[in-house]
Amino acid sequence: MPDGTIDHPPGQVLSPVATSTQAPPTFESLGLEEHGLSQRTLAWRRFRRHRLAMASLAVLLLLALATALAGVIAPYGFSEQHLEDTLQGPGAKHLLGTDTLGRDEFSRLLYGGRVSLLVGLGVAVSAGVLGTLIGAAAGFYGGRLDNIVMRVTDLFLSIPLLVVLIIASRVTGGGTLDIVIVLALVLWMPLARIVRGMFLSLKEKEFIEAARMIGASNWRIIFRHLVPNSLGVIVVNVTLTVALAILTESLLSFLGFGIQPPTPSWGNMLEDGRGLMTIAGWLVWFPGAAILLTVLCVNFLGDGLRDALDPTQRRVRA
Amino acid sequence: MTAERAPALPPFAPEPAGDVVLEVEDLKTVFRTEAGIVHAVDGVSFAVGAGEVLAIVGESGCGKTVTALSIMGLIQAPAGRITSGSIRYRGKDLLKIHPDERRAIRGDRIAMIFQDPLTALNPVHRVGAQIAEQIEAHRDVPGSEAWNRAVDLLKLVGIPNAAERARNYPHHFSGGMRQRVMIAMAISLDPELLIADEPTTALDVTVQAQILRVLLDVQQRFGMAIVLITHDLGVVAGVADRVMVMYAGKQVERADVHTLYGNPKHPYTWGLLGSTTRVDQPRLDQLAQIPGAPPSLLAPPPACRFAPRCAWAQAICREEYPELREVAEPDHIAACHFVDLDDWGPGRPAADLVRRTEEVT
Amino acid sequence: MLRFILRRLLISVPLLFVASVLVFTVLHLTIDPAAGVRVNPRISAADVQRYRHDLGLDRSGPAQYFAWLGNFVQGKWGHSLFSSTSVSGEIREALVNSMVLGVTGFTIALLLGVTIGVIAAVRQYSVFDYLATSGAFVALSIPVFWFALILQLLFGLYLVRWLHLEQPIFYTAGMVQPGSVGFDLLDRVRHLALPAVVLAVQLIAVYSRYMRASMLEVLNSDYLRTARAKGVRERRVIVHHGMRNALIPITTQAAIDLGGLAGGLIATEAIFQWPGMGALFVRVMDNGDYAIALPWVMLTMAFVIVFNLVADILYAVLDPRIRYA
Repeated sequence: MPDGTIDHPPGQVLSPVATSTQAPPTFESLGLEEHGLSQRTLAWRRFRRHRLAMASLAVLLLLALATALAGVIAPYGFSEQHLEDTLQGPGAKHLLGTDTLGRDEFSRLLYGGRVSLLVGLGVAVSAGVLGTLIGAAAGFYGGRLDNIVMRVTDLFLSIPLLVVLIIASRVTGGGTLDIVIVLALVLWMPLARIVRGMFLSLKEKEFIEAARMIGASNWRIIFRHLVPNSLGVIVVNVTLTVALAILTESLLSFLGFGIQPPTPSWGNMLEDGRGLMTIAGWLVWFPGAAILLTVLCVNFLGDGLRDALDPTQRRVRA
Repeated sequence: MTAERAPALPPFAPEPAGDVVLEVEDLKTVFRTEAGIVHAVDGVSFAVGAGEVLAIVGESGCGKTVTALSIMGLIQAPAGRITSGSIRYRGKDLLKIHPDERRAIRGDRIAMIFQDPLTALNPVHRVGAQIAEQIEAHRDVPGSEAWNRAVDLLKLVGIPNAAERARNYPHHFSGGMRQRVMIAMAISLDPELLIADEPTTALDVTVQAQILRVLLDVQQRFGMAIVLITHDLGVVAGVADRVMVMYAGKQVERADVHTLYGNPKHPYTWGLLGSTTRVDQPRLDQLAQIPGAPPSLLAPPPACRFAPRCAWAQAICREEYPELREVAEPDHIAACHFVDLDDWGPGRPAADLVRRTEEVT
Repeated sequence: MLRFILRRLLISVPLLFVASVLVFTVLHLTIDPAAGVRVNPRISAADVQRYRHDLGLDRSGPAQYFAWLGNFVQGKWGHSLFSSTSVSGEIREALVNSMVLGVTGFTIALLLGVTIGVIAAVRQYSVFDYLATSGAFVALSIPVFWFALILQLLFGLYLVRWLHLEQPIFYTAGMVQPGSVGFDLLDRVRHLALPAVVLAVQLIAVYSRYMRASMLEVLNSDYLRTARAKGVRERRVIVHHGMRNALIPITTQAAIDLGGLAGGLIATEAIFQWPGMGALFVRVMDNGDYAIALPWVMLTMAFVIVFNLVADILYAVLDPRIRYA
């Protein structure tokens, strides 16, 4: 739903961001052939051609590195106050300026970035694992389990995302781990439904029937056949969940329900700066731009991954 | 070597036919893809006479569908483009006239039916409405009259309860019924030429025969010409008057149906015929295959495109392109260097050919 | 079809019930509505006790819940725990305000988004398409509150300064001018503009992408090719065959989004101080007023459930291949 939380399940929102579709004759029908390359090599090649995704990957790695090394790179601590330098604009001594307590924006941006990126990654991975496992079980075994999963997800997906998160955040504290847990416990649901859907449809396909006929056990079917075929969709959705998690965490923190000070996150830095934005615009520009850049790169990356991995998408660039 | 080969014909080989409906001359259609430019149709010429059935056969990717789409004007720019040639309907070059005029001809004088009737019909509109739409696109008639005609057409192609079924949606019909609907739609304005692109491929074998019968029935009733595109030689034998064989974007043989089956002159045609079972021949233990795969159409070799797979290929086949040349019977052309050799036909051992060519050089 | 609808509605009732229990539990455990009173040194402990008794806070958790539930299902939503305002009155007012904002933004977004998507698909790979794609990416990646802050800066500060205006062109806070009475359309519009734009931008990004993808799929479909082969005019091909099919997924998505408007504007309302459902929610989460919070959650859930149902029905109406038993 609106408000930056965008309740559309991650895969659903950006699936329309497909950048191309088929032209009438396919490679096969025109007598062209890829010479015996594995799926993985083909996927890697396709991904490499998506320059924007590659560039985004580079930027993200750089960001991750910078924030991970915040302790080394940052000129000041994130709570370090310099009361003689309050509300300075960007300058030599403080690269990106200071806030009311004289804290260095650049350092806070780095430490805050660490929190925001950790949250994004942590949520995506845990929600990804949880959602995949539960969705796979529901889709594969069906029956009671599937029913329960569907009803539970129905319940939580009927309540606006932010509402659920705000209510949940009352129960927990405001630490990074708390927020990761809260977000993960909610964001696994859209992914679970997607995986469930995939398993449900894959289950009916003939190659699964064939596998059963030669006596493959359930485990084997799941791990050798169903999972690899869903992997592309899963990876894409997990990537997009990173974007959603970062945006949601910053929104929550901005509203005061997320990461609590003094731990900086880009979200609560924005909240801090909001009141002073008319006289100290830099307190608002930089954290917001940081979020925008990160999420944009993640979305480009997700798009590139989708082009490379999602078999349901057809693409020929004319 | 020259003594052995007949002189090559220029690209355009007109057949002496009576009333010619369509003349295609040196048609070239290309597609721009990620990998480069694909020459889907690379210089094809043929003509279709009124009321006759011309079959175009070949394997997937040989350019038969693209030829049909080119004739209809359905090649999608910017990826696809007709780069040269002419397509003359009753003398008028369709590639040179105004798009509006072309659209007026499309569906009215020249119609087309497609391979998969499920995806070819719009799933959200009623069947009767889709037929009526074609009528209303070209004739100024009230909706009710168009609808009535649609119902009549459905009756004509053998759909029971036509009045009721016209109100159904495509997914309410079986595959064969849907194809009948497509046929009804295509003939709604009594076109002179009907192009049928693999009309039976997506159907059960038993239904295939029914659909072909419908096609033939309709053809005789309205006297229209049919271009039947297929890769199924069994279908061709029962239905076609003349047959054109395509390979890798080029025409490799053309003759009337009896000649093609009785005295084929191109090794590819032999391969095609040899890979089907025939009632009039002893049963085979194993169907013959043509080894290898068609060449890439990205950068077609200058020489014979079939050479890599041809059991009789000689050095010249890999150096010089065999233009279409006339074979002994009238209206029979083939693109092979050796068509004039005595008893050049299937079953002739390759070694024999090597010996003969060595003798001459 | 009717049975399908009834079945869906019946399943929803337990969902609502469960949600209300969860919300109540969380609130009950985490907030003490009497806290404000308790810390006041001038109020004696006995008075605090009385206060709590009056509000029914000295009963057990489940007792409080069922007392509330009993009243709720009879339609008696009662009064807020802290003021004498009626719950239904407060919620109604907030809902109307949110709907005004929501529907405005939504309508703009739907019209613009669909248009942009169609053009981008028909002119694939053109400059327009490229710009539309980039724009959508940015709009989907930008933190909405940051975007809102920028708009506030722009209209509330910079433009006023640069153009030497007395009043901003568009107001950056509130729904009406403080202290105004009556209904002044222009004033309302000037207040509505910025929050509606913020809302619309997010939705436009989604709708234009959906429409583009849907349209592209349809443009490359076999039945479109058949329509052209029939000699139908191109405009009719695009509209009657193309868009008629391409709009189906958007319509259902739009219906779902409409359902989410009731409770989905929390951030926008917070930034622009718009007195809607979102602002109400934040307020009651702060003070623990479950008399309002519970009906709030139930109402927003009901919206979502009903509109999801509408979306499914619409889908069946628009696509004859989908017919429910």
